[in-house]
Amino acid sequence: MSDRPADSAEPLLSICLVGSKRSFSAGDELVCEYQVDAVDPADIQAVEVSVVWYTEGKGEEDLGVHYFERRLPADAEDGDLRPMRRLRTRLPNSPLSYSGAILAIRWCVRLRLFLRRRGDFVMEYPFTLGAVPIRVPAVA
Amino acid sequence: MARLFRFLEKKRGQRRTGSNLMGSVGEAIFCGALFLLGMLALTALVAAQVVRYDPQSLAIGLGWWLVFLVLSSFVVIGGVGLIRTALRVGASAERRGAMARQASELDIVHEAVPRPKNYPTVPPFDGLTNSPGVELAYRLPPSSTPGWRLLATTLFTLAWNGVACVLAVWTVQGHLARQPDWFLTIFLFPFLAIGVWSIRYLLLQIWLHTGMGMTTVEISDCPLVPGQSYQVAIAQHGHISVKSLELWLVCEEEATYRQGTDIRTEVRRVFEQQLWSHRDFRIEPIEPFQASAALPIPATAMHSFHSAHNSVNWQLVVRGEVSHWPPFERGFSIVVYPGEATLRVEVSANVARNALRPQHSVTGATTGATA
Amino acid sequence: MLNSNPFATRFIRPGAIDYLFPAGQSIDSLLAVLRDNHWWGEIIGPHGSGKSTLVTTLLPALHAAGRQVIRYVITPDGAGRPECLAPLGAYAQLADHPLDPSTQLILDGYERISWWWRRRIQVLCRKRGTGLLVTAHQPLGLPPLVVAEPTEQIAQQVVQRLLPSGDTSITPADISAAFARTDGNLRETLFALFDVYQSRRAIEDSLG
Repeated sequence: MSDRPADSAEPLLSICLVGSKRSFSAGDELVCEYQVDAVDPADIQAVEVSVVWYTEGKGEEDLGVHYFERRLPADAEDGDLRPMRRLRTRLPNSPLSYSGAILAIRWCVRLRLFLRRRGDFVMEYPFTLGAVPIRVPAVA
Repeated sequence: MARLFRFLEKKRGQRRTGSNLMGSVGEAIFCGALFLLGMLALTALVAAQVVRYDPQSLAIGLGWWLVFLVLSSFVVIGGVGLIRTALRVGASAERRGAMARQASELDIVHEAVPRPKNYPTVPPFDGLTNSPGVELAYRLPPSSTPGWRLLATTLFTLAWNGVACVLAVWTVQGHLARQPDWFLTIFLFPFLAIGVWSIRYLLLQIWLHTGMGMTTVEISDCPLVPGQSYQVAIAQHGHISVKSLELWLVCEEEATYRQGTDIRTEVRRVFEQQLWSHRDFRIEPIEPFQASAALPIPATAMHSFHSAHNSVNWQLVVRGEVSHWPPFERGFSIVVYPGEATLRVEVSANVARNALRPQHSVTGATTGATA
Repeated sequence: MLNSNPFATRFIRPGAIDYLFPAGQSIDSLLAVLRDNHWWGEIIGPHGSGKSTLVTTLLPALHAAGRQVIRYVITPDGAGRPECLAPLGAYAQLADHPLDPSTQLILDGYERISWWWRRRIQVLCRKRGTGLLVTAHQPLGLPPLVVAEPTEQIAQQVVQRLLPSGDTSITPADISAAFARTDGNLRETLFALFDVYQSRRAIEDSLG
């Protein structure tokens, strides 16, 4: 999904969905593990993980946050935010993933790492909620 | 006899047996005339004092001030009446009653109602179910009313003609006093022409929106769920000769993009299905045309969705072609919830087997990228 | 799972793609012109010609040159957003800012402000030595910086940058047709290609 950067000094963000499916029904439990590597723990300012939906298409992007967790070094054992951590959340009934003519609704797990000296880095793991079929618009 | 215009109308509670068109247009003409008469006379009264100041006539008592008050009341009553007429055009009987009962309070309550928390981003349907139907459970409000445009036209007409009256009185007085202002006289002609055009346009708008007759749509239940079938009843009022009348179920996507100084909104129809149609018939004022049809919601339909800049909207659309009137299309919003076929993902045996195998992960980093 | 349409707004908004400079023009050359005009200038062009994109492309260079950028978009109603200003209250809000010679004021949609208030804003900026860079659809009397006139060649280049490598679903003929159909409005060209891409990909997916 993302190219591994050539520079080994870049932080490595990992997201792993427990179970092999990437399509979920409404009400399913999403279990996800995430961790951060290749970065000095003292350099980490915060780690945020969220389960969000967003729109994409011809309109402004809208964003909805279903699950959000922000952790600071003080929240972690030994102040190290790197070790693997698990999130569990029950997915809602809506909005369902949708691929329309001028509008798409997408779901993803988003991991964002804030470093003191180098700004922030983000990683996304998309998944599908529900089973709304793809519409075939008329050929332009 | 029913075809002839009846001078005496009988009111049955909130409903009228007469022509809504004649009522609205007549009301507009009456209020407009009252406003113009008051404006002209008031201007003449004030202008007379300005031209030839007479302090004795301004003494408190029955005299100048009484006439001033009476004429002012003509202006206020006429102007407000015209605005109210414009606002009520296109409103159902239930809505007119609510407006009379200070509908703004009801609107505030509607705005304060939260969405059902089990279905985030699905718009609330309370506004659709607070109006009971006659044939079926709920009467749907129209998606858009001519109210704002008509109100704007009314306000413009009042303001412009008010000024025109003042100018006209001033000019005539100048001519009568043998001190004509020719620049004002020449300027007055186009000014009056625009005033007359605005009056004609306003009356035409009221005629168009009222004369066509109201369309009402009722449904058997709300909200609607994919895979289920419902009943829908339509009623078309008016005194018209209909070439065709159709009822459609429609789904549209709407996306708004703001970039720099440009705001761009695009609406794309992604689904439409004709539910019912009828051709070549007449509708009489005393008996609206009524019909009903089945309303099946496709099992795999996307649910109604609303976010700040994007939406998926379902509506029932009535399209009509009428003799001697422009064709019309009237929409009635409905709310569709997620259905069973779209809420659940079919899990294949393969995937179920793989669930027991080692986990799938994605590792990497986007350098400095933000979502 | 479908990939994103490369013409979605998230990929074409200013900042997502850089302004493509015609031959003989670059960020450095524009910065030099601005500097010569005491950081005053106007970017002129029709709708969808890339004015806001150019401003966004210039921002890092302006920061690097030590300019303290204050940027507003002038919208009819102020849009209720902190980065927007309504025409009527624009001068009052700008006057509240601590404007000084290191400030670079950027006003997108400058012609929405009336002549009188534009004069007052310009007097304010001159008094405080503040730079003023504006965008508009027609010249407003400031030193000209760029006249944005997208060409079909630029449209072809922009589209090639947006498409994933190896993606041939949009052809040069498609771009040419969309550019002609939208009368050279680059933003509308990209929106038109959104539809083309969307329909072709959806058909491919349904067949595949």
